[in-house]
Amino acid sequence: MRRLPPWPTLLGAYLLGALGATVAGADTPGATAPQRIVSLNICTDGLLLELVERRRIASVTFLSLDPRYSPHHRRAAGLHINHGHAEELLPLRPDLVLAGSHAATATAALLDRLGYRVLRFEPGENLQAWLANLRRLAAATGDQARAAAIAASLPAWPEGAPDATAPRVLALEPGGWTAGPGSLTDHVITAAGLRNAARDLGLRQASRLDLEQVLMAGADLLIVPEDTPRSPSLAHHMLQHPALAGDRPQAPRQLSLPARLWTCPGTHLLAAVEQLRGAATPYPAPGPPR
Amino acid sequence: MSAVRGERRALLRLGVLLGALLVVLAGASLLVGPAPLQWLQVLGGLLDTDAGLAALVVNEIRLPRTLLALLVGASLGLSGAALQGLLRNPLAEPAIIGVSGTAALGAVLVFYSGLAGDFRLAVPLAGMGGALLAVTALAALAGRDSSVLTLVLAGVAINSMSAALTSLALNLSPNPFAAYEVMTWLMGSLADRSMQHVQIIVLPVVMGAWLLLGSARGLDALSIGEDGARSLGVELQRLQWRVVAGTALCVGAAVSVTGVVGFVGLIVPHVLRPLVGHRPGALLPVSALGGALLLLAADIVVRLVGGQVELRLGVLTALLGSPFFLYLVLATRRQMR
Repeated sequence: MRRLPPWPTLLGAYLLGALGATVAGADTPGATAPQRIVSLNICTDGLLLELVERRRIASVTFLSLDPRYSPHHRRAAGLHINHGHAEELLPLRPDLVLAGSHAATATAALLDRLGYRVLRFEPGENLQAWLANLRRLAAATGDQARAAAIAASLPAWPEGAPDATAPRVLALEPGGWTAGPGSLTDHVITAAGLRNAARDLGLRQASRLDLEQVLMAGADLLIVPEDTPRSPSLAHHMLQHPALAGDRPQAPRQLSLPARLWTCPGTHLLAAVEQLRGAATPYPAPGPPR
Repeated sequence: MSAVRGERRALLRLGVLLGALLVVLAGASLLVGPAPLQWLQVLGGLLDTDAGLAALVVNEIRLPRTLLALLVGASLGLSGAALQGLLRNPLAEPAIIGVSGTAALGAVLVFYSGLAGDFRLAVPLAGMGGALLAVTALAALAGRDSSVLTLVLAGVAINSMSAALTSLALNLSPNPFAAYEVMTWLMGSLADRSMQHVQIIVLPVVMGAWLLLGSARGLDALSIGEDGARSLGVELQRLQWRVVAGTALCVGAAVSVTGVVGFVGLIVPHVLRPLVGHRPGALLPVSALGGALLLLAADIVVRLVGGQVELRLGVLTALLGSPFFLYLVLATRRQMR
């Protein structure tokens, strides 16, 4: 048998492969609901776990398993875990890929080019945005009824209108990062009827605050993440600085909340608002500004 | 005899001048910061008459930062002068020859692994251990091969290795913020330090400084050559161990708190050497003062520049020090061979 010449063979194989991928990824009209859904982003993981039954979820990200940062870490246990690499996902033969609009963009773009159906989501900064994402996902997966049921079961988002005497709160993350106006944390603080001290500092986005600026902000309450003593860092160490220690009369009171509350919007935000409201209630109205 | 007394008077004058400048800069350092405090409030905070936020900011944030700049700067200046005297190498400096790098590596390994737990002294001790390893190896190398170039190249190798291992350790840390802190360890920072940091390093720094200052006479003798020093009754082995231990204590403890800050121990001795008549022994105390001045000035500039991302201390000292280093390399080319 004559050996085939190399370059036409390679060219032919390449063309066949490209054609095959296009056929595999093409949206046939009237197709059944996606059965192998893959998520590349921790917030879309949350949406997926809330909406779709487990047997249709092919993979979620490794971040969802981390109890420090994932509000849905228990539900993610036992599912296939990916690290956002295309190589891990191709063997799963996904029929729907969910990606965030900012992270893993190279992987999402690659899967797009290979013909897979990729849906991108903005994480959103409040519960309304989350519900909008939920409905959009439901339209793609065919779970519109379930999405409507979830939306109906949730209580209304509290319209807290903090007045001028409401306690001032500063939400600090390791390293001195604080939430700017319009962020997730800012929405929760406002809904709890409190004032976000970051607004008074004239911050327009998430910014890094110096320790001196934190103190001079004159907040009545500091929200800090629950500490992780097993794995220290300089950023966490900053939050343990003696100047912020609660035993000093000038230092603001501290409330420890798990960092996973602020990673993504979701139904857990309602509990966060209640917790914040409860923590701030016994606090007396602040005196004149110092 | 009057010449010696004249020398001593000149040295004293220089010391007093540097000391006065130090007091002025320390005062300036207490006034600089993002919080808008007037100097009266700062004074009140120091004397504790004002029990408000000003006292908190001044006593818990600015005062420790100033004290740390003094201690660390003095350590770096002093050990730079001592190393230059011992190794008889004009380019010897804790950061260039790799001592600061290994100290930072030791501190990073212990801090991020969480091994230290509540034992706060563990981190500076690890820094001192790392520094001891490097300075012992380099002293042995300099003993066998007295070429200026060999020592600097050995420093390049040690620095590359310790920087790589430091980055690796930070990348492998389970804490997600650790990987972003590599710049702090490799370029140095005094931000958000507290009195606790001052407490844990003041003892090793003072002990190390005592050891190094006590080597003044030996270094003076060594400047006329090893045989000459022996004939003057100096025990070379003891001198070497004194400088090695003193450097490990000073630099190890200092770097474990700030990270690697380079070139202080290079610039200060070279600038002050003509003012003390090129005597290595007299250079030691003034280098300590000069190092403290330089680091304090750099830290003030860092805070004045401000900005979202903190400017690292080592960036400023490198901006000054690298051209200076290059100039020295070119000026001492003949000694390199």
